[in-house]
Amino acid sequence: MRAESLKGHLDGLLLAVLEAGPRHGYAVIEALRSGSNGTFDLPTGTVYPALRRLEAAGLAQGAWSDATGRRRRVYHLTPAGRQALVEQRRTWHQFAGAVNAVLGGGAA
Amino acid sequence: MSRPLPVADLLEQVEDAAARRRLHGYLSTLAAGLPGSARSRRDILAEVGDGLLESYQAYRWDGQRPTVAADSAVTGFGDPHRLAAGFAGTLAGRAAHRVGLGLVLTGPAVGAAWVAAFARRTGLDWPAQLSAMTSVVPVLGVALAVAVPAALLAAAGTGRTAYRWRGMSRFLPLPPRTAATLALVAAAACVAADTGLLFGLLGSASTGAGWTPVTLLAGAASLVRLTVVAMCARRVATLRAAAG
Repeated sequence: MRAESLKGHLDGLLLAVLEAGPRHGYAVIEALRSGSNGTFDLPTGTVYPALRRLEAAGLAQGAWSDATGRRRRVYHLTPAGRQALVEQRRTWHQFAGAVNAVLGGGAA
Repeated sequence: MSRPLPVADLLEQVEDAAARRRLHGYLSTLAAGLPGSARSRRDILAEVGDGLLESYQAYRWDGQRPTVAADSAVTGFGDPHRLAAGFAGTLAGRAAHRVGLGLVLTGPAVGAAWVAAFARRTGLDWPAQLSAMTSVVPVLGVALAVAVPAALLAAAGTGRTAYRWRGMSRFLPLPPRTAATLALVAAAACVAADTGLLFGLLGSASTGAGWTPVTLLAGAASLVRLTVVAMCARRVATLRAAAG
């Protein structure tokens, strides 16, 4: 799936990936790939500015870590990020339900 | 000869020279397109370099030859120019937020200093004070009418507040380039107002109106703000241009 198709949803997807626990950029994109069974195969670089954007918005917090013996920037969800994720999930379920109702073939 | 990258030691972990050159070339192209301070560039390169190396190592563990693994990692990361523009956009949004917020926060204090300075001549009559200010600086009213809303939008349309309020408007958060444009407009109007006030101050001194400590304080406040705003606006303009 192309990056353009995910426009408007990337932030929510990244928040959902971070919900499971702190991750560094490459682990985030790998989780996005594996979680979508390879459907969301974005250019790996895409995720880094997006994570910085979430950080600027106060939804994620990044910090440098040497825990694995390698210096890397690890991101975790902030309380505001968790709240934003709940809100995005609710909006998505509402939207997906409506699209499904029409596209699913059940409409009269 | 290319400039040494701050992540050169990271790439030492790549055993194959050709593969290392390929990864180094990608990061060099990214570095060349990255705006911002030396520290933010170093941080970004360290973060992307770490991810690129991890990607390369993953392809190696999959059995690819070093040069093929390096090519796969670089291709997977996408166009380095687009990546640099993505970072520039994020940085531009942050810088615009800071400029907007700075103007919103310092505006009342600087304005109050000038009102106090003019009050010595006109008495404690607000309309007369404002009239005195606008007669010295005719552009002041227009500058304020432009600077205040532009600075408010740049500050509130980006950052944490914008995300908190995004449910209220489909325009929030503002795209980084839009926020940067608003910050630049606010900065330009602020520079025009401060320059006008400072020229007005010089003019009043030449007519023998005299400088009081309050007038000097207001002048100093405008001079400091003028300098800081001009420097910040230059940074925002650079980031905006790099954001593509």
